[in-house]
Amino acid sequence: MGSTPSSAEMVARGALLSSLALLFSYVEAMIPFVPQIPGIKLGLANIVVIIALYRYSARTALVVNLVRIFLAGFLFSGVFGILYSAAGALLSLLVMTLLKKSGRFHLVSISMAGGVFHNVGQLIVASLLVGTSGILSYLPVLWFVGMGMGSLVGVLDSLILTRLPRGNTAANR
Amino acid sequence: MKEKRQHLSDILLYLAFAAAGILLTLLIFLPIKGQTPTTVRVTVDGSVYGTYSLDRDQTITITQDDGKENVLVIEDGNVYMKEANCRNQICVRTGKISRPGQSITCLPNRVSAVIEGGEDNGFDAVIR
Repeated sequence: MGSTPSSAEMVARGALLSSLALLFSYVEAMIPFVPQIPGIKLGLANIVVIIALYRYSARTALVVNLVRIFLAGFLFSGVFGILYSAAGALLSLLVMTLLKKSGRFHLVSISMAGGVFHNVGQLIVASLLVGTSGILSYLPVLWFVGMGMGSLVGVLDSLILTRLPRGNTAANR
Repeated sequence: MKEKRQHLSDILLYLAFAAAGILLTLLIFLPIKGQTPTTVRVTVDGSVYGTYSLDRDQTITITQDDGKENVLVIEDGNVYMKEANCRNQICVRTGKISRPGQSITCLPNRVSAVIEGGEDNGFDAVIR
């Protein structure tokens, strides 16, 4: 982390991670999960976002996340989809970055918190858009689903991060 | 990585999230169960005839142009059909209703009375 990588390297890395995240979004868009309750998803793309956060920086994670949301939004879910995901992803990333900065928590816990706040962010936007608080009755379900899915993503990520080679980055040279 | 020291804070974080989730669940779902009956809505032939509070005892006579007549009574928070000039008298025999969602229907006269839940009254919940 000490030396700063060149901008070309950052662009290449950002593009690579973004396309990987987009691919995960695509895979997920093909899996019908629980059709009765919107918003229950694995959050596969978060695997990449968390890797970006851990291996590189919060900024990289933010860029990857935003690129992914806009591309996946226009490709799969439409403008409202972008609003929902952006709110969820930004809140989730904020929470995860803060928790990681505190240095007290394991990746799995941080991912769990991220999963929960991803859903919370989406639900806040949804209730603002729909204009009824009735939609809040989804919150308990989505809260626990977020805990579960977030933990799962965290476990996957800790498996990936121990195996992923650090690569030929400026930080390693 | 300081693995050992992390365990406790991680466990605490999970417990905190689980507790917060349970609390949210209670906050969101208890008020619905705790609804108390406050009004009875009377409809005639599908359109609303009137809405009456269960707090005040009263007798409502529902008269229709073609001579159909039902007498609905609100008494001590209960609602019952006292009289009806219909053939089968099923509505009269329904008896007293008092909880949200319960209804009395007089099919021949096309009259129905449904109790609707009002505001949250704390933990004095009605188990249905």
